[in-house]
Amino acid sequence: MTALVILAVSLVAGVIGAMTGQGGGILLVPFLTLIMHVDVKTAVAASIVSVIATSSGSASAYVRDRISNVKIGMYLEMFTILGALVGAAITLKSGGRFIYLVFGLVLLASFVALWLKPEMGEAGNMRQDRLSAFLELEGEYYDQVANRVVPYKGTRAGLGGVLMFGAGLIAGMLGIGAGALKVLIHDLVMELPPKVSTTTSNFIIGVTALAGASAYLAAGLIKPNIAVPVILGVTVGSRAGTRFLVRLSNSATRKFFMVVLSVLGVEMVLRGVGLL
Amino acid sequence: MSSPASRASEGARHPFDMETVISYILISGVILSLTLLVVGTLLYSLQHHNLTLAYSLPQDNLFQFGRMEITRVLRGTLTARDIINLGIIVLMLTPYVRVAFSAVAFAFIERNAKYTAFTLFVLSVLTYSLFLSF
Repeated sequence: MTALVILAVSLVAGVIGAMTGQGGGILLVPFLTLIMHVDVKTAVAASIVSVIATSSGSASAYVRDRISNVKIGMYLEMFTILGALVGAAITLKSGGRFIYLVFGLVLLASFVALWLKPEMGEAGNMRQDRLSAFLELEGEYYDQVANRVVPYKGTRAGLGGVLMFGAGLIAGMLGIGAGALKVLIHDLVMELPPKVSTTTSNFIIGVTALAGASAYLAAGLIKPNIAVPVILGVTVGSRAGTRFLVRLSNSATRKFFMVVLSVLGVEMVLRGVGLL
Repeated sequence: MSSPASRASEGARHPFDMETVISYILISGVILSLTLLVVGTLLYSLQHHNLTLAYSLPQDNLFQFGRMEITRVLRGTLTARDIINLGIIVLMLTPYVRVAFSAVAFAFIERNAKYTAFTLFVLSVLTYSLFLSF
């Protein structure tokens, strides 16, 4: 029976994750630990394997349609995979309470980020520093709504790379895609158009998750009884969630998600400091 | 080659353009993996009369784990467990194969030395991490 409950819980995490564009992992680990009482490191390990499935599935379409920028993705993956390995090492070496605490803080930070909702530029950026030009961080994509090709250039490759190491670290440590964080770096630092930044982030997430997952596999933390229903549930859930996306109003999902984030964030922090 | 859509996909002139192949690698890896996981889980629950997969993976790195499973496939001693394990192995190999193909594509199709080097770096780090053992 437990397997079916884990499947259902993962399905819900996948649906909400896809509808809000935050990915399934950020809800999955709190659900598994707080509701199902799964050991936190086992939950993180199961989650990071499921992240490979969800991100590879959706990245496939974005790469085919040439919205993801493969070059920018490859460049940034050099940083995220190193971060993911360091992050996984931190989780493997630290006590459970520390992981709860960091996870809770990341949930609360996501709440704040959604609340402030930074204004994103729409038009393609055309300014570029020398490093980014050397790295050929540029491209164009076809905007279906505007029916035109949008050329763009990425900038601040150096700072972007360093920050992506941090995003990879969070991803590897907590077993999440950390897509929201990656998108923020793409948008605000590298000035990529929103479409390119979300889809390129998706492309990077799979490889980053693999680096982390390999460490968890070697540590014997990938448990089939948890990981398999999680992979199946989250994948099916996020496919379904992408469909719902068009039907529900944006602000309603956002408000709902903010409530969920804050409740889970507070619970995880309380666990972390030993008050729960 | 003048419509906007085709301009956005200039690389498509080559029959093995990188984006198309990467896209196929990703989607077929995920579909194969999920199929193996579903079939394996159903077989397992029929044989054990229980949906809970009560077994552990060997505490190995992915390459040792994969070699062990392939040996079992070749010997024909495939159980429900092995099908599930193969599903996990295929899933983890999907991004790895994508990066390996990108290295080849940057080297021989795009002929971009800089990005061949970057991709080989990513491939080496991933190979290292898949050989980790504790």
